[in-house]
Amino acid sequence: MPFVFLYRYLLWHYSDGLKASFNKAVNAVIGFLNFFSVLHLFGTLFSPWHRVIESYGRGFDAARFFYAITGNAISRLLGALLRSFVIVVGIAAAALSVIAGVFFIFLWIFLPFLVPLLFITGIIFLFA
Amino acid sequence: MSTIQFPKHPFFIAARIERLIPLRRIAHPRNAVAAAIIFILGVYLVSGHPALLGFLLLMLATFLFFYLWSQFIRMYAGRGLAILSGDFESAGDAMAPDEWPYYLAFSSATILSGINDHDDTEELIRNFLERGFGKFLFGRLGIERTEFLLELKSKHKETGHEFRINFLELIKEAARAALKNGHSFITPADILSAIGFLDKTFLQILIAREVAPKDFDYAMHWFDIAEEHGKHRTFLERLESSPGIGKEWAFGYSPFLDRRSREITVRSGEELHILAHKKEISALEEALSKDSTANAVLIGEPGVGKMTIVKGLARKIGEGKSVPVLNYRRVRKLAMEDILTEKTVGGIEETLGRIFRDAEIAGNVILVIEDIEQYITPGLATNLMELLLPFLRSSRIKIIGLASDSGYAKSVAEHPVIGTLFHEIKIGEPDEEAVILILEDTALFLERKYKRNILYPAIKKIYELASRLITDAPFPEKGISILEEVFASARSSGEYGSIAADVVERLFERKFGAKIGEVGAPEKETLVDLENRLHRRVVNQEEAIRAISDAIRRKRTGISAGSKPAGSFLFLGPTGVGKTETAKALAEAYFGAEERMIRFDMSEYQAPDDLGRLIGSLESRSAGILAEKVRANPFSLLLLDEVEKAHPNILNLFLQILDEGRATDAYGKKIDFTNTIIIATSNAGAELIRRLLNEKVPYAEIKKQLLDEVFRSRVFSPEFINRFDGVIVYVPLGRREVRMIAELMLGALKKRLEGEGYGLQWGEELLDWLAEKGYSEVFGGRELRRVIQERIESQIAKDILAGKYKKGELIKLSPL
Repeated sequence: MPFVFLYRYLLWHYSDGLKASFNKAVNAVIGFLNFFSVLHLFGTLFSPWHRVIESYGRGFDAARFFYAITGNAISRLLGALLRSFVIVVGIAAAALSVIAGVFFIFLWIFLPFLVPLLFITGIIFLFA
Repeated sequence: MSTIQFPKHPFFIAARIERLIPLRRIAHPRNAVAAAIIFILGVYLVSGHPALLGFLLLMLATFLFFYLWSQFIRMYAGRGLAILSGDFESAGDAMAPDEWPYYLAFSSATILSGINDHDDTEELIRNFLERGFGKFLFGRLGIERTEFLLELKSKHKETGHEFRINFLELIKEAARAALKNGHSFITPADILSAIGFLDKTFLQILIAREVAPKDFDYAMHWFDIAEEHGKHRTFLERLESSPGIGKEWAFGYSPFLDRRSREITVRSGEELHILAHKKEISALEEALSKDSTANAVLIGEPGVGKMTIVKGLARKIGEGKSVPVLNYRRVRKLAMEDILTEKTVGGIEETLGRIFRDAEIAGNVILVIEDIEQYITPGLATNLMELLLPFLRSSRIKIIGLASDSGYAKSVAEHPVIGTLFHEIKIGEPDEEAVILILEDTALFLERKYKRNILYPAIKKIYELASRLITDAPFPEKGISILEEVFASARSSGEYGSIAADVVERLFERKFGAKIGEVGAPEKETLVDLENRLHRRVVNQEEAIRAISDAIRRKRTGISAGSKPAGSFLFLGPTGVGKTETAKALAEAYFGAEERMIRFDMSEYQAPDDLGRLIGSLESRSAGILAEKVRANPFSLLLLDEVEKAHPNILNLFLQILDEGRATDAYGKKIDFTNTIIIATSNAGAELIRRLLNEKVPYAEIKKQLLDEVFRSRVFSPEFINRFDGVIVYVPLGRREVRMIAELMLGALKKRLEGEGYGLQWGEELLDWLAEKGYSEVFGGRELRRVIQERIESQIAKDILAGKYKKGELIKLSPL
């Protein structure tokens, strides 16, 4: 009976279990990309920071024009800078989660062997 | 013996493992092992002893073993292998004989995997009752499990029915129950429900314990809700539903709006209120995303859950689970109560203008305005339509208005453009099932707060009594507020243990000052002895007293129809014969105090416009006296004096009240009269009564002739008279009755004087004298009251003031 249990467990471990581990790893990557709003920030990379924009006013006034264009450029650059920073952090977090995911999947594959191996090694060390 | 074989799928292995050792049992050992790993690792790093390394590896192996175990079980917990679909009537039949295990929920498979003989219903039920589900269900229903099972066995023995159900038949029925209950898999609740359907004895025992099949279903849903609450969101789930960083950076700042509005958030304990409004939330979502200028208005009475719907949408938007055009927008409620404190209309307009401009600049705001009809109805002092109009047409701001039915209809009637600016979503009162589920959900939250459990019968009682007695507020609001009061009252009374239905009854009794539950022993005495109690104040009028007493007993024991007033009587007879006194005596005997009588002199309601004084008027914005008084005291006696003088329109109102036990006020709110005794008095036909009595006509004949006369002279229509439970004819008083009343009145005077410290004494000759002087054919007992007041009470007052009597002395009365 325990062998039947073990056999069916192993069947699950390398089918549905492995699939679930893979899904978890993928979801973690998506989760980090969503948390750091990577796609959203890409889409609005050069939008003014919190819509802080200066009006050019009616008619042409050189001083006002240069004041507005400078202000708006700063707002967009500041926005782009901060967004880029968060995008980089987000991509880094996602990349780390990819590495962690790959490690996790590998660990998952070896876990059924690792557990008895650790157990036996532990016994050996304990009585060595 | 019939043992079923489960398919060779890991799902069923997981179910068997869970059956042997539930996952929750390994939570503590796993945490202990994790802590041990950290500790041993620390010690090993310091000492470097190889045995510690061995121990560390052993602990690590144990931890990983627990991890794999929990992953294996969690993979299947809360789900099944195949989702049920299709019409529930044919679900079971369409299922192939060997495919049913795939539709089992994990919890059902866990229970069924430990059963030897699946056709043995007793074994099946016992196994269900021993698990968490059975414990919760029967615990909440207030039924002792062992007792229930014993009774079930003995009933089967008595009737000779076999206590076995074909398991495949049972599963087919359970599949139908699952689809009916909206479950994707066959849960333990569905299997128990199927047992109840197939085993009539099971159902009979439940019904005997006042648990109807629908109660059983509602209580089972409660378990689902509790399970749902018990689930912890994993790190990944929280990460996915988090708004994260930077989503608002492309939108503007709104400092002024932020100060003058509040963010809409969902409190713990409100989850199911939101679930109950899933359809309306989707409708609101759809309305707001139709086009860039779309706004929506939720129309419904205060308390039906309009703000809950907005909260539900706000949560979806916040978690990014709504449609892309709405996701991550800020949902904020305008603090109109603060804004309206501005000193001038100009000030209010300026503030609102700044707020809306802020919201427009921000570009990601959904503004919620409560009672929006107050600000868009021409003619009202708070009308801000001109100011709101450009913002309602703006594509950079979305507005959700909350309005009442009548208020919004009035706004649209007077300003048709409003209808084109908002997508209307009507919100009705939730049905019984939704209300009970909301109450169960709220109860779980309140249980944690007040550290007490509540039983299902208490929840059911709240629903029943609130629907019957609280008519000025809708569900779920009234149910939730009563539920909170019940918990607070249980805590303040210091009672421990679970809150049962009687706690709810007591709360309602205190609230309404009347007996509500089953007829108790003291009340039984009152009801049995009602005639004598009334006769303590009312002399003679045997027929009247008997008819009233019979009607009240019928009502209180639940024999009479429930959707009518508690009792309704028309008292016909000359003045001063005890009609009003009977009403007072009844109010005292039945409701406990004479003050429970609400009296209306109907001669003051002779014009058609007087209807507004009774049930309120929209023009004058006044609440009706009748509506207010009956709502405040539903357990009372309503006395309509000289009812024949009221305008026919007003009589029509009472026609409806007498027929249906309820009326609607000018604002469309119900007024409930089903707990009110209505007594109408009239002097119509008094002369005829006197004449017929002189002719020695029997009582029954007098009544018949009097009614004929009343119909002939069109004082009342036959349908009006027929609506009363009884038409009681009061006969004029003779000298003998006047003498008896004199004794009663002197007794009352004696009581009052004793309260002041004086005694009172009189003899037979005084009573004879009063019977002589106080008798009047025209004024009846009123003449006697006048004589006692003028000749006795006034004289005593003068003597006391003159110092003739001192406290403690006896005042002796004699004929003057």
